[in-house]
Amino acid sequence: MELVLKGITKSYTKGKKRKNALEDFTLTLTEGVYGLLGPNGAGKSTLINIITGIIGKDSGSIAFSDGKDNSFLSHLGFMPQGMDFYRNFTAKDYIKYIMALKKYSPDNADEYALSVLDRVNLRADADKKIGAFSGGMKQRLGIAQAIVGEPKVLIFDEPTAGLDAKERIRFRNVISSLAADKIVILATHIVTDIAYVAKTVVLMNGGKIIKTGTQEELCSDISGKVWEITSESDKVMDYMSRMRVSNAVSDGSKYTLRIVGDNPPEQDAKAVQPTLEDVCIYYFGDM
Amino acid sequence: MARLFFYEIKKNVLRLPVLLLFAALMLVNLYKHSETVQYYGDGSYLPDGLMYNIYGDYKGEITDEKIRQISAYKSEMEAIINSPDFVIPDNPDDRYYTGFAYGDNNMAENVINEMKYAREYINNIILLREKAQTAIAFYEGKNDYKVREAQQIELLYGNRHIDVYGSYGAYSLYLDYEFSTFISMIMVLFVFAPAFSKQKAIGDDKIIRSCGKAKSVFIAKHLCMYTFCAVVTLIMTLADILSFGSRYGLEFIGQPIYALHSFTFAPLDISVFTAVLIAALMRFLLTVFIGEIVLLISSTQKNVGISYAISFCTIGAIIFLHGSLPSDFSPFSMICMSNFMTEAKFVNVLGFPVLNIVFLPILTLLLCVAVNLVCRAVSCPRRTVRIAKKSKGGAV
Repeated sequence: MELVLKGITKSYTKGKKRKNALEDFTLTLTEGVYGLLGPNGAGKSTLINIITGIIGKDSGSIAFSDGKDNSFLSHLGFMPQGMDFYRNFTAKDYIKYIMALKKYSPDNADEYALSVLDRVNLRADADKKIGAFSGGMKQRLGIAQAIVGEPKVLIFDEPTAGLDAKERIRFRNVISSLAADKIVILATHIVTDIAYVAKTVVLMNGGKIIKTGTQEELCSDISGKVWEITSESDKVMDYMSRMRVSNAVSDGSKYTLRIVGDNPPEQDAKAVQPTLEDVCIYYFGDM
Repeated sequence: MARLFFYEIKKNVLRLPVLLLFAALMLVNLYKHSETVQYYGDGSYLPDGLMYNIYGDYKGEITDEKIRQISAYKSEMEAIINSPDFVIPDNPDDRYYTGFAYGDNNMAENVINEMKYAREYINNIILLREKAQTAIAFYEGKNDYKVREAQQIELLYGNRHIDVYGSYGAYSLYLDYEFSTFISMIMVLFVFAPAFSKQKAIGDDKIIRSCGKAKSVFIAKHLCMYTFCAVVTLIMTLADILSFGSRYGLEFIGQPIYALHSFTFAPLDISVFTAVLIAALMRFLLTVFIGEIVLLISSTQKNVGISYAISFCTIGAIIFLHGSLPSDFSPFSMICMSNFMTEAKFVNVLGFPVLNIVFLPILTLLLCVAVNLVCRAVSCPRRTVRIAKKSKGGAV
């Protein structure tokens, strides 16, 4: 299964100027998790809104490559950013509501709703009012509603915002379990979430793809461009203002700084293995 | 669509605060009923009321025999209370309907007045038709509109008569009772101000649009609003009628509307039942009109609190403007049947006189359609609809 995004362009008028939010965006997606990374205004939300049909595009197409499906949107599961729920619904009610929205009518609707909740570990809370749910439970319910109707494409927009570490781990595990036979697009600011689950990372800026590849590929691209130095505490601010510092760790009197750049910041700087965060810092500066 | 409709009911209506507010307002309405009855009547048609026994003997078809009997009884009571020996007794006397001669005198006078009204009703109508004929003759060749208007009056007020004496207090109070419609409006505001706003605030609108169901949900939401207005209007109508009926009785609902004194010159020759039905339908339409406005405001707001505030102010402005607008052009006039049924009021539509009871509901309906279309444009952007349709071809 391949989902082909071809030449997608979208522009807005801001004042008298026309601004491109997406410019000739082309990407072919196969099963697995795709991490969408980019600073604010990179075009992630515009792309997601176009794929989900929330807004239109100026040009381009989105279609499955085999052309067998007669409706792309009917194969889509979507969890929007900052989603919340109707407090008077139970989890099961809510899933059945989404089934109604998706016109999904299995033989036993109740049993299907329970099976969906089971996949995100909410079966025991199926008859509980959502008003009594914790943030993590709501987030899992958000995933559950996205997988209703067994869509081939899942899109999660900032799904882990506000979650504690335990819930974020749980979220990542659920996403990984879903990704085997689906295309999953994960847009987030939290790089570690993508680092753990994404098979492919798409770096976006200014409405364009800057770089695409596996984490290993992206990291190897900037191999030899990530440095570690030890610095006195009074010089830390100076480094931070002049260079791209991806991390600063204090051991009391001194700091160990992780600096991303084409050239070593000091003669005694030690080249280290890049991470995905370093990749982001390298391409986007501060996200 | 049926499932979406059910979930719209669940989202908007089946909420504890909604049910609690409705219960509380129903209690306030019951209190208001007793206040209204105390203001307009005295509950004398109740089994322990002053009119109860005498009414029981004389209600129904008005016959010469009944008129003779009640007139004789009235003369008898008059003779007693005008007698120089008459003293006001301390205790009720079983010989009298009310226990007292002067009470019976007053009650008999009530019955006679009602019978007189019924018997002499035709004279009022003859007079009115004569005036219409005079107007036709006067305006002939001078003012076509006035001629048409007078012709309409002549047509509307033909062949009328009242044959029955009955208690119509319950219907009279209901037809001019406004408070329950205010309650319906408050409920519509409370229930539907968050309808679209909440959807946006929690991101549900994005899921709906990603499913290509913005239009279906829009329709389901409106169907939910219409159903809610219908159910609330029905409950309010039944509560009002039954409550007032418990004080005055609910007989003679098939009698003509002009049997009620306040509707002597009602332009429509309809039964009390039909008038009650029309009143309920007009209140329903008014509530729907308010509902359409509330939904439109809700569709433009993401913040539920702001949606409430704007809706509240807008409804307040509509009520306030009602005083300044010509009543035939203000949907708010539909709250009360007196605005339509006390006399024939016409609106000049392209030179043709149209009764305001016909004109205003049509105008309100058109306003509802206009507001609905604007709301649709706001909540279902054309582009989204196009994407949903186009997607059937495989490529978006």
